[in-house]
Amino acid sequence: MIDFTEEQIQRYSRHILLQDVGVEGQEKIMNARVLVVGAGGLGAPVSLYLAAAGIGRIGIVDADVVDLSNLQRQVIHFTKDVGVPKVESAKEKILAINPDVKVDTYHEFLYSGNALDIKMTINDDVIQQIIRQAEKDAPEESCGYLLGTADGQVTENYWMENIDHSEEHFSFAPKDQFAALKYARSKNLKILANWHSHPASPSRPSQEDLRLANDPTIRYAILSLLDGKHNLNSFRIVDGQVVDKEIHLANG
Amino acid sequence: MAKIYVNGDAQEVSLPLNVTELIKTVLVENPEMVSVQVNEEFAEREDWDNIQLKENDKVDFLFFMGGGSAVYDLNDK
Repeated sequence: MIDFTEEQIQRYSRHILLQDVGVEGQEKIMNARVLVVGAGGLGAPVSLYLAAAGIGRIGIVDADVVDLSNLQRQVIHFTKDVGVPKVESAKEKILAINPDVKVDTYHEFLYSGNALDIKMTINDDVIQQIIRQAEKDAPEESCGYLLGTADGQVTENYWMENIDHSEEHFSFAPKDQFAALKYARSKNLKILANWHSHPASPSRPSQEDLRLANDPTIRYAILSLLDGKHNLNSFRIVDGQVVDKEIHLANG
Repeated sequence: MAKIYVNGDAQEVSLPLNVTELIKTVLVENPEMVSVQVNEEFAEREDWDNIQLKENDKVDFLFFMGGGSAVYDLNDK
């Protein structure tokens, strides 16, 4: 439940008055996230309206810069913006309309090669929690799911039993997996990644990790406790190959 | 045609259709690497052939999750 400020109540009063929107509807709008692909003829007005309505987080993807010939229809860009990346120009206007909106800019083209590379970020308290869990379980490997929002923000560690209870292997029980899925759905979260610890080896997938990484839609995070240091990287693995790596914690 | 939900997304399918057949259509590769629940009830693999799907069924599948730091011979696939 969002506590609306006086200013927000006033700002969104014409939504809140509508019977079909109301406070609950406005809350849904403020919790919503939208990715706008292209800040041009359509993306420009769409972004302005989304910002005005109070969408919580707006991402904009566009590799282009503003040209004078754009201004006749791409109404988010102004004369002073000619030569500026469209994502920057759009972000400025969105924030001018509604400073409550969080704006993510992607100054690139969207194509099949980067569409799945939405970056994953892990809240600090979640990282600390999985370190504590892994240290408690060491020398056995520890594991879990990372749950979060569709835009890649991990907000929860979901403990999973390592049914192998092994120092060099882990497995999830299928029924535990469905329990995790049910929990995630009940909190409106997605399973963004699984993680396991390497108590005595580096934070990179072993041959066994690669062999068993069957799900191309999630990331595989590995927390290394090697030499008393904490390293946490996550990987996207397709057909047994690492196609993307992110560093979440280095020598922490 | 009937509407069923696969991992939360609505899909149009033609009946009759059992779980084995559905999993083969949505997962061309690695159908053996998933666990399935139908309407939040775990479906044992040996029952997949016998579970006939119907309108509005909710089917979820999750990939087997495992791995480990064990060092394997690179040639040992």
